Amino acid sequence: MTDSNAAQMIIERKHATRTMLIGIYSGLVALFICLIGMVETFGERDIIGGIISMGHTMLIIIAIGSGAIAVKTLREDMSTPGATINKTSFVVEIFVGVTAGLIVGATLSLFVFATELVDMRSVLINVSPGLLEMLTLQKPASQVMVTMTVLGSLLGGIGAAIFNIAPRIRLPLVLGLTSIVSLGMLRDMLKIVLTREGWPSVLLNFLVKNQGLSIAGGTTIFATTVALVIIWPHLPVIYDKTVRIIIAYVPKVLQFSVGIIFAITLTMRVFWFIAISDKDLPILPACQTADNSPDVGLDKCISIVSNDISTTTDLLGTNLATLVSTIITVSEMLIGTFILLCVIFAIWNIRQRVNTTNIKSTLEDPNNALLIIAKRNISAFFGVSLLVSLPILLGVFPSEVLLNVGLYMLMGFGLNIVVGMAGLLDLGYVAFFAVGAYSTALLTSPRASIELGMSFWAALPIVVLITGATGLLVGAPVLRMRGDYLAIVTLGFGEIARFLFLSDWFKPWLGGAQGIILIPPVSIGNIQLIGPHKLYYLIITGCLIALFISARLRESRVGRAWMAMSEDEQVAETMGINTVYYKLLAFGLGAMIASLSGAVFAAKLGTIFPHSFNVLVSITALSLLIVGGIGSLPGIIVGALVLVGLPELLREFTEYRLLIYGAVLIFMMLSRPEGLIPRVRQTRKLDDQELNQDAWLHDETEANNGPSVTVT
Amino acid sequence: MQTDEHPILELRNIDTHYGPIQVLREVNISIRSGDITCLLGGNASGKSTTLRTILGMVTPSRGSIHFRGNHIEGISTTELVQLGVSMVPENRRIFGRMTVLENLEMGAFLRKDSNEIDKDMERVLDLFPRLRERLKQLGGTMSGGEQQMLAMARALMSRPSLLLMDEPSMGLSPLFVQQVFSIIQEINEQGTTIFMVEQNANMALSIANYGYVLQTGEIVLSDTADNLRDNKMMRQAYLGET
Repeated sequence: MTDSNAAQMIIERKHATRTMLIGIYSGLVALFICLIGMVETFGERDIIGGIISMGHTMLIIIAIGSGAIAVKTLREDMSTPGATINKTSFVVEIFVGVTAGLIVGATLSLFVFATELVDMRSVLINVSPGLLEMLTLQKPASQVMVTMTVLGSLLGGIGAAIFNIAPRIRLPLVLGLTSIVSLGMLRDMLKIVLTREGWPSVLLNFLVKNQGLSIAGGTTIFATTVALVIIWPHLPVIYDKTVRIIIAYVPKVLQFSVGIIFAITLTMRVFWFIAISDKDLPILPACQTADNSPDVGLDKCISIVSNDISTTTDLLGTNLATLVSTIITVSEMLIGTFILLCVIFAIWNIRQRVNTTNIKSTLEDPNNALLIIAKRNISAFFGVSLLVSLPILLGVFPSEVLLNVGLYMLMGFGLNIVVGMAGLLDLGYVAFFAVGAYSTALLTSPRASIELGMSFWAALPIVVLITGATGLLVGAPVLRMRGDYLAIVTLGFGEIARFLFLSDWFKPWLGGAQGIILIPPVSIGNIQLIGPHKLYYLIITGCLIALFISARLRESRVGRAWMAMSEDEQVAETMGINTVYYKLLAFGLGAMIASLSGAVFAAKLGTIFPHSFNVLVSITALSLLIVGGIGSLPGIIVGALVLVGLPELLREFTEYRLLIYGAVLIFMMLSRPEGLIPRVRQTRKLDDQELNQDAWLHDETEANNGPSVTVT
Repeated sequence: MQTDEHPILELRNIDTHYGPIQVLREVNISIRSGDITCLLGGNASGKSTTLRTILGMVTPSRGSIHFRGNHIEGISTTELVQLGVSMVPENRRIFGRMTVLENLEMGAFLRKDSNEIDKDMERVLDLFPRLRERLKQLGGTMSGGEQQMLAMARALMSRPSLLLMDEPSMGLSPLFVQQVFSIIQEINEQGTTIFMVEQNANMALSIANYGYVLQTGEIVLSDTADNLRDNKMMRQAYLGET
């Protein structure tokens, strides 16, 4: 395309205006995050130590993004039918990107210039010297203005250029950069995980440099990601081939023994982890309550801590500890030997029997049942191993994050029954979580008013029943409501629950604002599950049970009835579905699952207050369903990890948590309303065969267009 | 068509109110077992309300409803389905997010006899061969006519003795209307009593045995279908004759 052509295209007003608007909006967003102090706060964290901070990264992303969005809009405009010009050239696209980026840069430089003239600090408190230092890189504003504008346009141009690279190169490039940024953000986490005992500190020193990643570390991460992205599509094939070879050439006995010994090792490791290792001292509930109640002093707290350690050591004794570690060592050696044996066997067998047809058919038949079973077993095995060993690998603080994710995930599974399956929008779900936590506290705490002091396990069935009954109680009056009305009423119920727990009326039993303290930790036998890395196993069990129940329910008669009910209540009734019964069932079951989460929550903290059960809990539980994809079970897992896990990892930015949260939700609703991992059912499109079935319809309507019959 | 003299369903002096507004006035309808009975009437004449009253979605303020001689006013829709009444709702209202097969299974929700359900499934799929091709397709992705067929098939899956149909011809192309009505006739010949609410009086009377005409909540005419077709008032008001 010639230059005059290009110019003509740019002059075309629509595109020009749109590009400028995108630039202005992006500039305003950049300005906004500067003014609310986000850039400065994030500037304290480096992505690459000493070179680029997170605050800078954010601005860079905005500039690149403006260029990319501008080009994307341009292309969309071009592809709409009736567009005067329907092809853009590389030059034009770069030009558009540069323009958008230029406006972003200009906006920021204007801002810097303005701060020179006027002292904005009296009004905008976040326009601090620190922020300006970050923006200007400690140079006088007059010099920087030009640099910033040029830099902005450059970045915009890069954004536009990204669109013009072949996807084969673009994907690894973008993902590589993303992984650098995300690992840089999670630097603290990386530090915590890598400084744990058992990990070589070389890795830590290599990757992390005081404020961020080291240059070498960043490069390595980038290279690793790129390599992974390139290998990724081939992985299934490699996996498939490996499994085929194992099935065909390694004797069954060997396969089994490796599996069994591996399982033993894993169990022993977990046993060892839960029972013996107390090196990283867990956060004890007694210590947390120390601030809140006068009668548990610090001295007492310390004595509880030391007591606890002595009990666990007493309990298992040094002999048992030695025994367990011996078993682990021996079985790990055995595994090594067996795997070696397997390899030898495989090689030997391949040489011996490569020509027999039997083996060949095993190797090549795509629908081999043995293969499918083997694959399923192997993935299940590794899945379980990973789940089980996560806290061992990660340590206490990351386990705390996982525990919180687990609590919300469990609630998500419960809420999914109510909202996702039965279609009843419940905004007061926190009430059931609270009832679960409070009834656990009431039944187990020796200091609670009724002084029952039951064990966690004895209390759990009662808790579940009580909360289930509460579910029915809440469900009964709202049976006739649907949609928005139901949402508002349940929202009210959630708040009512909190106020009841706060009220003076229930104070003698529930402790009012002070809540209930000294809830004993969960114990299995004589082992106490104290600390998130141990409670993790409890919550993961709960999640797996909830997942199993949900999966079974969905495919059952009950699940069908719920589905019919959520689609069309009246018609469901004419199918003979007793909607009252099924609605109550949904409320009851949902409440029961939430109560499990509440019970673990109470046992985890050791103290509960009404303030922990605010409306935000309900909103988060619902949001994770929405982000994951309503009704989708894997979606709940991903949703919980994204919405609960990520913010926990970025704790120091708590101030902006809700802002980011809202932005994510809006973005999700605009770009992917069906959720991250939507339910297959909801996204299923007609396949070719089904479309072809409809072909006759078009023919017929066309044929019928002539002699149209009017029917009165 | 084996018609016997016993009414399978009878409405006696039914009054129905929505709040203060009276919708049905002294409606008397008697549906003989084995017949196709149709209820004709224009918009807002109370046709759908009559069906809703029968189904127990609205409680009549006066009068009684008898199903095989037993009082059924005030019982729930679910119980009525158990007694053997099934409904093809207005505008199809199939479950759009379920496959055709799942929709049909929903129809047999209350039944436990899986062998018989399988037999009925075959029977229904023989009646609607087009559905057989699409068992795995989502209901919502089908055309209006196919959805109507699915709604009828679904209603049949509960093996009803009385099938209620709310405007089966609504929103369908003329070709489909003919097809739908001939299938209704076939269903009736296989032994299901049909009570049909229709605006398309021409089509309805062509297959019905008996008809009622509802006007602003009152039955103004009731006669055999043949007589109704010849009725002068009927011809002017509903059959488009001037």
